[in-house]
Amino acid sequence: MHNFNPQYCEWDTTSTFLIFSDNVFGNFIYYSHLLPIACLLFLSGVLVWQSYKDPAVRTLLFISLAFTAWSLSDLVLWATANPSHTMFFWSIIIHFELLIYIGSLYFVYYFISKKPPSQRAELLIFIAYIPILLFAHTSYNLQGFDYTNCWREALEGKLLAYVYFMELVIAVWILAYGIYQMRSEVARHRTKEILLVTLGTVAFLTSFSLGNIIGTLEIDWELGQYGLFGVPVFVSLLTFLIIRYRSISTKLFMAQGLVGGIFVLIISILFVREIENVRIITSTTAILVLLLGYYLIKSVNQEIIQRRKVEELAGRLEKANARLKILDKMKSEFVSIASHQLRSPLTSIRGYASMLLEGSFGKIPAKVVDAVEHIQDSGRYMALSIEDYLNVSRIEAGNMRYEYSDFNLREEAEKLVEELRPMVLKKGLKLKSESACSSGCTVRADIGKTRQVIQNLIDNALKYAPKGSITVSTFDDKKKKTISIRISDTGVGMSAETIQDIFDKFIRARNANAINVTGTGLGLFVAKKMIEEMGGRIWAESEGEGKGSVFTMEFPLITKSGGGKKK
Amino acid sequence: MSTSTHISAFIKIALALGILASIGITYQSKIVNEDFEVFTNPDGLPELDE
Repeated sequence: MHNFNPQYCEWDTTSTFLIFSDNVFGNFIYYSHLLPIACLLFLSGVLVWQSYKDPAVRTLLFISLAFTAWSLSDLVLWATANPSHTMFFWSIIIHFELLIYIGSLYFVYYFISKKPPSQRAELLIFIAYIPILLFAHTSYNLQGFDYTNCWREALEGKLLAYVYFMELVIAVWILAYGIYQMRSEVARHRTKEILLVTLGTVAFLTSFSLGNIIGTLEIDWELGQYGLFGVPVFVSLLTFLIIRYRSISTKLFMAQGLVGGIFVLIISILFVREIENVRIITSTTAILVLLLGYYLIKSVNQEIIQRRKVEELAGRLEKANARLKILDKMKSEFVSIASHQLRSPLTSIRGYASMLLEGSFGKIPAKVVDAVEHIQDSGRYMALSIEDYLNVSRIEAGNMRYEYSDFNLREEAEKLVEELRPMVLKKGLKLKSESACSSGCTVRADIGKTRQVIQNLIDNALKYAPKGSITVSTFDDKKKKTISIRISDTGVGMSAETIQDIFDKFIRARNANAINVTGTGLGLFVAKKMIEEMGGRIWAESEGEGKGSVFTMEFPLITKSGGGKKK
Repeated sequence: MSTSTHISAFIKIALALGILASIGITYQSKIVNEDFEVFTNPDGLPELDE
């Protein structure tokens, strides 16, 4: 026992929970200690709630707990009148202080490189800590209780200098690590993030140690407490950085923070108000807040998960789309090259077949004529197919060229009908041409491509109409200022579903195979693209399968005052 | 877990146990045994600020 009398200094010898006593004059010390504790535990608690697997978040919680232990121990030093308590808490406070520094070092490592310091570094820290473990309880740490005045202080030993040196080394280590990482090639795009977390952590440590630095320099222990107000500020900055750069949702953080905050505030009413029945009301409100808050957080979380999934899918879709575009382009190029390669020999085949039929090589037997006619017909279909492939390639590559001129659509249609009549008649079908064109029937378009489309449509009708007739009608509508060509047949017809996508690439009527019709499924796609490009439109109609089809193409009518697509 | 993780965990556990032991010894020394020196003035009374 020691022969001093605390009553002499008029110390308050009664304290509640060791930290509340009249020795702490004013509430300033409580604000500087308890407020940062609340802030740190709250922020790190909400972060852990949301992302407990993130080691940086868990380290922040560790720092908060170490700070809480330090802050409460420091409060005991302010409040107690018991020299034993002063000696004990003053002795052990260095552990908490160093743990805050070591935790900060780990935090920076986890935040920047997502891994802890190297094993060698961990071993170094451990070895450096050994003197503190050995001498914390000895007079090397605290020489003894100072009763030469009434300040309730201990006399600090040499170990304290070693602790401060260690703290300085760790702070410099953090700075150096941050700068090194900023300059490294890997983290070049994260310069701002690394700079902020490094400076934020060092500022947090400086702010935390300000009291010790000023106190040890024997300026003023109370003045140093202002530094502690900076602790929640810098921890908030670190929290913000975690949310910003560690894919933690701000929305969820805010929702959790709001619910947690309201809950704590409501619970705190239980301790500060003593109105009758208030406990029941407050408790009920707190439970309600907790329940509603739980559903709020759950729904926010679900929304975030869904949004992340959608974003992820959109990203994958974008990549797949880009890949598809490349593949599509490659396919078009391939088709273009292959078609060109096929076209030249085919022209030769068709030419020689024609010459054979014309008798350029002498008279040929009737059996051979029939065979050569088959060659010529097949060659013609093949040439049309190749032309379709080439047109698709040109359309998709944007290389299709149009030569616009004014011409009489009715005349061109009639010419084509006459050219194709022998072939139609040969198949045992009738080919009729009608005209109800009261105006000049002039359109402005590419004459070659327009003929190609009409021919395609007649060919189509021929393919899909095993018997009956094909009718080509030209008519105009002066009110709408349009001129149209309608190709109707008595063929296999189409269902409503087929009509919807008949102009798409590689689409053929569902019953096309039933009548053994060959085709690429590109003719109508090419026709639609060409007509639309020339300012017209094309559509298909049918009353149903087996009831024939009607294809109509419409162009703006060219009158004396003008109209149609300009070149 | 790899060997390095084991060593890392071992270091952390050793440090945690070391700190707990240090706090325990300090408690025994300062609070239970009150084993610390008290500095007073020669006349036994502290000097007041005022």
